[in-house]
Amino acid sequence: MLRTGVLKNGSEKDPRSDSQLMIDLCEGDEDAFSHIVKRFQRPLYSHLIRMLGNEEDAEEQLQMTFCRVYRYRHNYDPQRPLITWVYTIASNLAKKEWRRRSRWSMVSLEKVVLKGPRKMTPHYREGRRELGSSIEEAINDLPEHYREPFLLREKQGFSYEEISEILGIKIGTVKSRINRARAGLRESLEDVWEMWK
Amino acid sequence: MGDVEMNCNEALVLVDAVIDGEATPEEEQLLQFHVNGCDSCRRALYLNRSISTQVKNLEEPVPAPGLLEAVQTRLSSGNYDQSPLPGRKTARLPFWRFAAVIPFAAALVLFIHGIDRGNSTDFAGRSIENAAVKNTTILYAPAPVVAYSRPSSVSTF
Repeated sequence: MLRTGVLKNGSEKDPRSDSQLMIDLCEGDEDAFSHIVKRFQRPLYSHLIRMLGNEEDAEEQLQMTFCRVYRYRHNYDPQRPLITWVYTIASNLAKKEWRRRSRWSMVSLEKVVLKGPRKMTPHYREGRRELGSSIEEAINDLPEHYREPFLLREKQGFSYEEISEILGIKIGTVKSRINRARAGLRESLEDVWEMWK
Repeated sequence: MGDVEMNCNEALVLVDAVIDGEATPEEEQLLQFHVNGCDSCRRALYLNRSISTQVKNLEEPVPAPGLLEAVQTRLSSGNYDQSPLPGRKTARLPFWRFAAVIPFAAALVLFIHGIDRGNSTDFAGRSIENAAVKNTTILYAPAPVVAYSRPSSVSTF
């Protein structure tokens, strides 16, 4: 799956490549940063909301991700795709949030430990359960270390090599975790699929 | 296709490779041969393909408007890691967590030191030397100081 730096919906008008935007930002072009935010906000938000399970945390981590992109802009290597660098930042922030939640779960028995919270976000909170919401719930039930590479592959379209770079794990581990995620989803959705086939 | 056979564990690995477009034409043929005779793997292939299609078509949530302004506000205020959300902790452990431990650690050190120096109270409740062990439980009462009085014997040798 070919990834491009420009959103397919054509909302971006700036013709500069991702790397060029970062280079210009480092040289003082603040407008380049606004284009970077607009270019990546939707896919990043989509990823974070499914990683963290609610809009509030996703928006918080999204803001912190772009803050770090700006703060550490001089650390960016133009030889590396900007999108993997940005997703690496977002992934590390999401992991911090997971660790924070797991610390609180040791204090409060009501807290969910490692899986995402059960609170459903409005965009799939519907009166009648549909297949999409079933899939969302099944994804939310996956352990975080299986869910993330699966979403990066299936929803964001990253290659195994890119996922390996983003998460800092070996390609074999990426494949194994995606395999486990799919097995978990098959198990969760098999009955639902029969109903909706 | 030859006589190459494959077990289900190997087939499931190929299922992922086929769905992700990573399999060679030969591997795809091999998998097809296997699923033709294996209901379980055929179903796994079907479900994985269907789930993959559905996941790609899931709704794309949109972030709230004003993201850029919110980010710029954070950058200008310097609160990069501070969260305005109630109940959220900062990225770094606050100093008070460590500061709260210091008095406790100091009291513990003094307590241990006081025990090591020995008893400092007697049954008569006379003033003590070390205030930190004031409430230390005394298991025995030392003899009055006068009982130890004796002429200096240093020079007898």
